[in-house]
Amino acid sequence: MVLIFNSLFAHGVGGRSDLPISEWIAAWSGAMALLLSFAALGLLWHQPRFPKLLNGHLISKLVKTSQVVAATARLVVLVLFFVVLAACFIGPDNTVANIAPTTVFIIFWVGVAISSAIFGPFWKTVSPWETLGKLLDKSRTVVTRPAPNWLTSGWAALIPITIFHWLELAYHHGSSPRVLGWSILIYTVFLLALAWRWGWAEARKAEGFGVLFQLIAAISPIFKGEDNRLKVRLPFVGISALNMSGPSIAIVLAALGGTAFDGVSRTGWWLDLAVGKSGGGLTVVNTLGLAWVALIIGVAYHQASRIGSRLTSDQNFAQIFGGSLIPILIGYDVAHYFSLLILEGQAFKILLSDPYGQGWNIFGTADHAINWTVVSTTVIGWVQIGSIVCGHLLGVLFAHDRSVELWSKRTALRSQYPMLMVMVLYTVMGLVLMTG
Amino acid sequence: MVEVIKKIFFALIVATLISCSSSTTDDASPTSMAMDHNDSHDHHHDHGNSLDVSQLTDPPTVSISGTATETGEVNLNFAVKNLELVPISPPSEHESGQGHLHLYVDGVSVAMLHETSYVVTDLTKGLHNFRVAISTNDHREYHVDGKAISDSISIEIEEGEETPEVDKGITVEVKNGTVVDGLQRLTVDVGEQVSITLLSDEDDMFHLHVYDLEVSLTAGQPETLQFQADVPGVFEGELHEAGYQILALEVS
Repeated sequence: MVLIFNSLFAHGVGGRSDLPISEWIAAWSGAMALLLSFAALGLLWHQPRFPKLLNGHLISKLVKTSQVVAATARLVVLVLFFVVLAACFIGPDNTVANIAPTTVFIIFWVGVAISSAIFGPFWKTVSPWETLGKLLDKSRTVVTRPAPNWLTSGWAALIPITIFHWLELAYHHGSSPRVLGWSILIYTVFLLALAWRWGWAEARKAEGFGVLFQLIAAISPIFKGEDNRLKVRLPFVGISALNMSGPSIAIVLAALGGTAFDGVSRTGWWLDLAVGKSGGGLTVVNTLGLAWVALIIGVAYHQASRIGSRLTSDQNFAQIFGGSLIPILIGYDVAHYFSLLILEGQAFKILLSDPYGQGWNIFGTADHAINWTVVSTTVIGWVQIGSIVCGHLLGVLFAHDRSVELWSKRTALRSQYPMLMVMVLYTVMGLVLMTG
Repeated sequence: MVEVIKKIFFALIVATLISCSSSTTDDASPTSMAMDHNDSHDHHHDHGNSLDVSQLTDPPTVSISGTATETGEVNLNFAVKNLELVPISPPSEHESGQGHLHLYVDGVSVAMLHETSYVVTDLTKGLHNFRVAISTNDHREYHVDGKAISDSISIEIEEGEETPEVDKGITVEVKNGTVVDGLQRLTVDVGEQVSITLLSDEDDMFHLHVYDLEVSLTAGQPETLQFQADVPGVFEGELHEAGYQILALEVS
């Protein structure tokens, strides 16, 4: 017996949401996060600690094999990239039966983001666009032309991130395999065209996903040292070595805004607002909602930075504390997508055995079913609360460390009020969204 | 600094404008047209979920017959004319004169077949409705004069499990392109028997996500779906043709 469902999904993939968190748990968690944050402000440490922990230790045994492992992984990911791209066009035209939506929205977007936080900058090694871009560079003598400012400044990276969020969360056909196929194809051609003109070293700056995953990788305990060797250090301290430019901040804020809107779109309030809307009408409502949530997130950071700049007389306030946004983003990601990754994500191994819907069973997993109870809802609930609160605390800790590094105790303390306000706003927002 | 933020807003606004314009011109966009070219059944709500063959002199027909056999089992036989039955896997493009059967038990989609007999098991005691419709290779149902080519039969099961008692139920009514009284919500405990009654003023297909239950709806005719809620979470129940969510089932 085979059932095929052609479904219209509201959030990329998946017609399941997590159970709402009880309001009192959310309220207590929020209050605790607040209390600890204020404690962190003045009582913790008065000397910067993160920069001293940056050096780390060499993972000596891995170094020799790393080249081989990297080359193999690069090849596997490149093959998978083309398999999935082909599936977009020749596989079943159905969100659930086609491997592409699950791969793009769950394995790539959520899986790689969370893995980057844990395993570091691996995406740069295996990314199919890196591989293709470098191959293009090797295939000819690179003409060194000065690249235009929109590319070198890093702002171009915001384009794919914005379009991706719109496809995932607003466009009513965004999870259609054919739409995904065209999007991936256009994006790849776009990147290779940039690489052809200005070389991959410049074109890479427009590969928004690579830029974002590279930023997220800064909080991982694993990192690449100056000599390109793998090293370990305490998790999260790496943020202090990050240079958060304007575009980097915008990309992290856009990702945060997208995740927040995904949360908003699952609340009862939003469902009531969008009920009965379909097709283009739904797209318009979702687009406005997405822009509106992203604006709230962006304006909050902007305002906090303005106030901070005035209090500290430092024009670079936004860049200095931009790193705080990364643990918050990862907290949001885990809270919203942890269950998606381990539940709906199981579809990936099933579909990989039969990527074109031809009745194949390459890895013997084609007839597996998703185990929807592999983690209990209680565990999911605590992971959600824990990740939002921890993301918040780490953001506050980093900002605290940064401020005592730069300024006198008094200025440092003052600089933290606006940052704390914006982080409390994000945290309260994140917790409220999980109460349904 | 201010410059940077201005750029952020500018980028967001530009993105919004692009998004808005793309969405309003959706049906005419090159991507959308290219997709139609590739696969004409992509936009289900645009092209409909059916294929009208009224113009054929000998349109396909189907009839169903069946008998209750063992405890809770029914043997069904289908007689199909003017249609070649082909397997649904691997999926293929529409070929005129080819197709397969869609079988519904009490309105719920249970199987897609290219054989002319099927055994339904685990039926509860009482009267059950079995409906068969013929479908194209790409899962659109054949229609004649606006009606699906189908046949149905009701069979009384005398020996079988008693229908479990419903713990919680809800009726969802769809009228004039929206849900009556707004999006409907039902909160149940894991393990409870849930009954969902659906009534729409247009033909449609209801789908409950993850539980993957599909109910074919005929305008003005209520259909009831009964099942045990064993997966926790919040699940979307949507109408395929209309393209929006009508129910949120919360199982905790």
